[in-house]
Amino acid sequence: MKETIIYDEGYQWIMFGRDPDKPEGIIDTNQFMIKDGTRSLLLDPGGIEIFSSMLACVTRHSDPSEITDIFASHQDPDIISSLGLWDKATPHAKLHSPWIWEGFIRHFGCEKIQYCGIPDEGSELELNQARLQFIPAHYLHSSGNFNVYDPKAKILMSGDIGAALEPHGSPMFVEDFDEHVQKMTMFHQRWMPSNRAKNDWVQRVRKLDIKIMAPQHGRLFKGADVKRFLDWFEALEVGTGVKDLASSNA
Amino acid sequence: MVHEYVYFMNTYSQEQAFFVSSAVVAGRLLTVMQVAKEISLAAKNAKAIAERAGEKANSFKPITDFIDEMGRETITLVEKINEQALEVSRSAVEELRCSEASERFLHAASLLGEHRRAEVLQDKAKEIEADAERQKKEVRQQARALLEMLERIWSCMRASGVISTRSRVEAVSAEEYQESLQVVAETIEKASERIKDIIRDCERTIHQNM
Ligand SMILES: [Fe+2]
Ligand SMILES: [Fe+2]
Repeated sequence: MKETIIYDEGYQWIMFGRDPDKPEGIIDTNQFMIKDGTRSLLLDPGGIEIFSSMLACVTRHSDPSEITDIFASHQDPDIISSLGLWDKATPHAKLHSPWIWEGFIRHFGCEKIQYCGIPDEGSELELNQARLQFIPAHYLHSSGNFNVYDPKAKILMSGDIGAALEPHGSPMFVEDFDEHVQKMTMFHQRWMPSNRAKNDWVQRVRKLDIKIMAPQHGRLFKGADVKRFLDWFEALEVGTGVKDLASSNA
Repeated sequence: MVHEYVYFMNTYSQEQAFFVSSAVVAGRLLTVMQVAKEISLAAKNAKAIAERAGEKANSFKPITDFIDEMGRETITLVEKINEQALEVSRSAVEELRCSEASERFLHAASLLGEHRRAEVLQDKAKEIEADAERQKKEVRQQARALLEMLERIWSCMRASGVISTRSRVEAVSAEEYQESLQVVAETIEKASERIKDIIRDCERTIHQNM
């Protein structure tokens, strides 16, 4: 699995992805780790199929005993179906995830790890130096959903927002935004259900100072591309599955 | 990773078969339960007939009591076995989960190569493998208890089979009630045979995995 350090000042943001060992037919995912001295946080650590690769990558940076926290933006299998295995690797860890998904996510196996439900309005998490904010992103696409914002590193881990479906081995960062749009359009229109929720999120995120926006699939956005994304997303009509159905019934 | 998965399935096919087979056993016991209820009902019928026959069927009454008791014990045992089969299935699933986790930890350690923390993952894998071993022992123990209960049902059914054969002979003295008593006895005999067959089948299924 490829790894890229996207921030390194006092603590690190590390991104893992583009796994060449990943079995065919499962969607490619980006996993993140914040290594902050004796404490590390894993963000959307991924599915069962990539667990071995992830564990190896993570262990290069931290002893498993120092992975104190895990974040799951929502309940999807590509986000957190590996939980039953992390439960054995890091039994002392805390899992921060939307409160509404507790009874569902526990189906992946969560015997020892402590489930800490994030309230709908969001909350904060302090590691050693890193102070992180869980920013509400409900209905984008999951009905209980959070992003992670780091005001010092100016990184927003945006989960499925900003995701793109791309061929294997694509670059880490968006290079040509206009060209990238076509890889994102269907994903956002079909997976995101609510225009109201989308516009509410755009307003909230516009207030944040963001250098890098890091989605869970596809490429990361940096600099001016972050604003380009927000503008594009605001103008996009989502929830098209319903409309398509209505027109095909007509 | 695809190869690795196939490897899991081969290595742990036994345990996989165990949690499937104990569920299969639990399913088959539903039939045993139904048939045992039929036996109890038939025994109660026989008792009613014997009551009507009065003196003529005096020797028949204790027999029907006994058969009724065998039927009821079978029902109680089936309920217990159902719980036990579920326990076996649960432990077998846990064993499989531990074994799979341990394999994945070892794979992660091999990906780390010469890295100093490879050992940490190997130690973790060993720890989990020890859990898997413990589960495995528990599965075997629970499966043995399951077999013992099945054997007790088989004995109950053998006893009620033998007794109902004898009751057919006793029925001769019941004169006009002879035929109806014999029909009941035959019903019980057949039902007992059927349960015995299912029990042997269940035992074979479990033995295949021991
Ligand atoms: Fe998702
Ligand atoms: Fe996703």
